[in-house]
Amino acid sequence: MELLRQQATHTVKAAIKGDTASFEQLVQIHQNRVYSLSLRLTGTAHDAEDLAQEVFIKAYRFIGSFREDADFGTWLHRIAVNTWLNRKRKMTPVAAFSLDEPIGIDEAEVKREVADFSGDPEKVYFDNQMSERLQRAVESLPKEQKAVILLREVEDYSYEEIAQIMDCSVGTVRSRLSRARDALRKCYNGLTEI
Amino acid sequence: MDCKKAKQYMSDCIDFRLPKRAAIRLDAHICGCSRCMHEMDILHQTSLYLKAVYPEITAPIGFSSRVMSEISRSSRRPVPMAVPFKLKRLLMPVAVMAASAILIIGLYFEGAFMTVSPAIEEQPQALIEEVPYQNGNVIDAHNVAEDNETALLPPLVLPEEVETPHKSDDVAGNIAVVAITPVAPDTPVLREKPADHSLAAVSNIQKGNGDTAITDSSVDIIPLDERIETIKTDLTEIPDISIFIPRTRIVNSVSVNVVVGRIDEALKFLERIELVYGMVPDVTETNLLGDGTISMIRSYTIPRSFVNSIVVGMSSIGEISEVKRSSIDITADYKELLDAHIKLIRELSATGEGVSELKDLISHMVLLDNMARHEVSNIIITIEDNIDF
Repeated sequence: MELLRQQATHTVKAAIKGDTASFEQLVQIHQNRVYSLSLRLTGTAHDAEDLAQEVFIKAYRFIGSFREDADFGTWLHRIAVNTWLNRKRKMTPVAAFSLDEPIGIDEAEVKREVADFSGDPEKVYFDNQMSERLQRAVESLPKEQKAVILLREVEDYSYEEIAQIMDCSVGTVRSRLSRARDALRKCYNGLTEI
Repeated sequence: MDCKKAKQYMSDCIDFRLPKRAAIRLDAHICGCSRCMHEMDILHQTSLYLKAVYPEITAPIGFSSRVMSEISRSSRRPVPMAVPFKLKRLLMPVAVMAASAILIIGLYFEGAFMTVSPAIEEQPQALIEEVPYQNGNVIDAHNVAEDNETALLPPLVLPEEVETPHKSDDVAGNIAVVAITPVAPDTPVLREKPADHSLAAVSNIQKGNGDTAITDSSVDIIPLDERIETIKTDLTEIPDISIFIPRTRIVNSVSVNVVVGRIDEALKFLERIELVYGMVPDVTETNLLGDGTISMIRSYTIPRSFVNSIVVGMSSIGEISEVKRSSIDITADYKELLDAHIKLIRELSATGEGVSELKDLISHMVLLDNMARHEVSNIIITIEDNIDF
């Protein structure tokens, strides 16, 4: 574990000194997490790749400003969230096409369905409904709340780390998180009461 | 506490951010309010679903190559020097002052030999404009807005590591050593045969508290004298001992064996567990048993997670003469805890709010007081929950 940590530090140091091969190594190490976060934030594979790519390009350009005692992965996430928030601020809302939308055949509609063999059909149905609803609920959250809930619940960052990533106070993180959870709880309640 | 306040506390509570006092009050409220209990359950369920909804996804094939080719295609080069944000802010006025000083000196010398028109005298003001500045270099002004996400990042400071609850330097006197073993669902656990006096105590506890579901199979006995060195060695070989209970709480069974010299050390440890689980005991019992041993039972109900119930059984096994020998040693932490309880009880008595909460607090306080007066040699804690994957 310690050896791995030392290796990682060495790679970051080399990348800071301008070693492109080391930077490429860092891209390989962090690409999955950065891409995952990008996908969660943007919602589409195309936008996610675009965002993730921009994150690494920015990281390459500004690697000189990275403090070596910090965590490189957290720094990348910080760039990702800020870049995404900036893009959202500039962007006008665009209607998204969902792959779950029914397929229109003449005048009738057929739901896209994939077979699932994972056990109790009732539970599978509930889980699917819940996942779908939650995803929609997360999508509909204000962008800052969405970022906070993803960083906390999915990426497992502490309040302090989220505050650093999003450049806000811990109090703001708490209130955004509380509001986001409240919205998601309502969504969950909605499904269980059906 | 009313439901509105309880709701405000819930989010902090599931992240273990709630101050202890507030956590106690929230728990007391939740235990008596089925609606809030349900809300808390949902918060946990939602949290678990979110993790499942957003699994980690692998980057597309060839992603890193595309990034690298984009980087090599781009004419932009990395900015080599790192100047901390605060230092930049300090240096900027110095740079501006130096620039203006040079301009003023320049103008002075020019003025000595030339006639300076009023328009030229105003010029230095116009020249002292903010130059786009990053990492020690002047950069392209058009890129400033676009790159502000990284350009203006203050340095990251990671939080300090969480203190592990089990480590103690108090080895010479009353030894406080804790071995924590997260048990995977199918892992066979080697159990030591308890010494006779320990068996008697365990048996007494079982008889006296039949409804708390402590069974032989859930109790591990580690004789103190023989095992200290082994446990100390074991501890050094567990690298990430502080991460012993997953945040998601989907745990099949967690077995915690504690060997401590002092019961108040054990209490501190228990409180850490309570903090991690976000739980407050709803049954606490301390008994002096017939054979001179002390038993303590703490029972917890966790209404707001997947865990249906957690039963913590503690038995303290020691000779009665030892117990008497080292009585009354209330530590500073202890006093603080007692004071906090007393203060809260006074507040609650004054407002007349929450009678059941008041009762719980009083019994907790009495327990604390009892425990501060006794020393024990062995404490066994077993936590079980009823989760099936």
